[in-house]
Amino acid sequence: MPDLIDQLAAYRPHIDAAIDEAHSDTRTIDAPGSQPTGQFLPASTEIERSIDHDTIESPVSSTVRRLLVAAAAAAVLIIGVSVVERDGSPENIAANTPVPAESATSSTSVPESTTVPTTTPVASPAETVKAYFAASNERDSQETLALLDPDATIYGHPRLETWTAHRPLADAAIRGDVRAGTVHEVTADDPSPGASNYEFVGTFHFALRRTDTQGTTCFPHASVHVSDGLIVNLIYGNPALCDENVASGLGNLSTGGRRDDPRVDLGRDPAMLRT
Amino acid sequence: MVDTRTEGFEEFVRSVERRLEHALVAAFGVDIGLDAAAEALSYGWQHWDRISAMENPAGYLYRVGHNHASKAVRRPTRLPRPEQSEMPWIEPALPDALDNLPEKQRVAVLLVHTFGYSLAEAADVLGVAKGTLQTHVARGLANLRKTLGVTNA
Repeated sequence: MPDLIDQLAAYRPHIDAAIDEAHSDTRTIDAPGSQPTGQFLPASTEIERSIDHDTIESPVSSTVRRLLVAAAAAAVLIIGVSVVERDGSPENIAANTPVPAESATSSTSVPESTTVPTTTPVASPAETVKAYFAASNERDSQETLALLDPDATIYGHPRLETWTAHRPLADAAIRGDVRAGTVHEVTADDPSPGASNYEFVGTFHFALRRTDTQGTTCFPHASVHVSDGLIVNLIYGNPALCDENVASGLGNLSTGGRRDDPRVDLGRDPAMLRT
Repeated sequence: MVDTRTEGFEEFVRSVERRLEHALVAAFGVDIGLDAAAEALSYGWQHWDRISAMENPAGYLYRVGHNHASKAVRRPTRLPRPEQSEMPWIEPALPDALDNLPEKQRVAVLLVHTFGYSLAEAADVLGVAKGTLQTHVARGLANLRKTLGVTNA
């Protein structure tokens, strides 16, 4: 065996390659309402596109923009209302998860606010929205994300562990106090577990489990990340697209048969979701 | 138009970004480590006026990233595994042995002997004294040799 020091040095290219690969993380990009194309673009591209440049008040360099986009990718806000039974099949999950009455309406009755208004005030540097992930525990949070995320390609997969449960919001959502398209403010004073490391100020949209016009459960949800002069508007699933997503198979993850490994990059092979 | 504040931050990022990533990847693995580095640098930008006045901004941001990752990580660190067919010269047990090192020793060994930073550079990004880092490196190498059954110096 070569000397240990030589081996350690030889290990570097492999780690650097893994870092570079992570930096160029990919996700499927499909235009709203279109059929999945399977086209792969860097995740940051999607976020970059979603930045509302008109709301940028101060000049921000490309380096800063890149860092904030990277942080947004690492700290995506997704609030879920679905509770996954530990030993529940997807069917049981659907049966056991409380669905607020509003959510059972046709997807043609889209909540008014499915995107973040461009007039959202620019947050001060201290008012940075950070990530939450609502679920009952780590295992369930991973499964819940796989169910909630119609694209399921969002930075989630191996990075799920970095997302923090936010119980008060999850509890409120489970009680039905939170609806898709409603606005909920979380302040820095929020005493929830996991919140102490963050400054929670922002306007968020919530995921909502709903049944579309075809009677199929899907999980439209949206989120927004506001950071220092940039409004990074992340929309993960649109209630208006619920039917289309279900029709294409992308939204119907509850029958995708992939619950055993929610970290699988579901969106990279849409064809696998159609089975 | 980029102001001096931004210019200063960009210069800082150019000088420490990769080192910060390497340190946090060594501590938490690639995915969580990179997330932590992104969080730390984002935090650095937001608080640059204060952080830029610090004696060791890189070391401070390493702690920011470390704290961020520590609160979220619920599993042991797992470094990337080379395919043996691609890198047959790497001892297959090496990644496991590195994973199982105490974090401070793993980070020290990887920064110095894998990523090739000088003791001063590695100590700077970790925010520790050079002598402390040297101790972690020595202990880490000793543990690796013991685990891998290597006797050469």
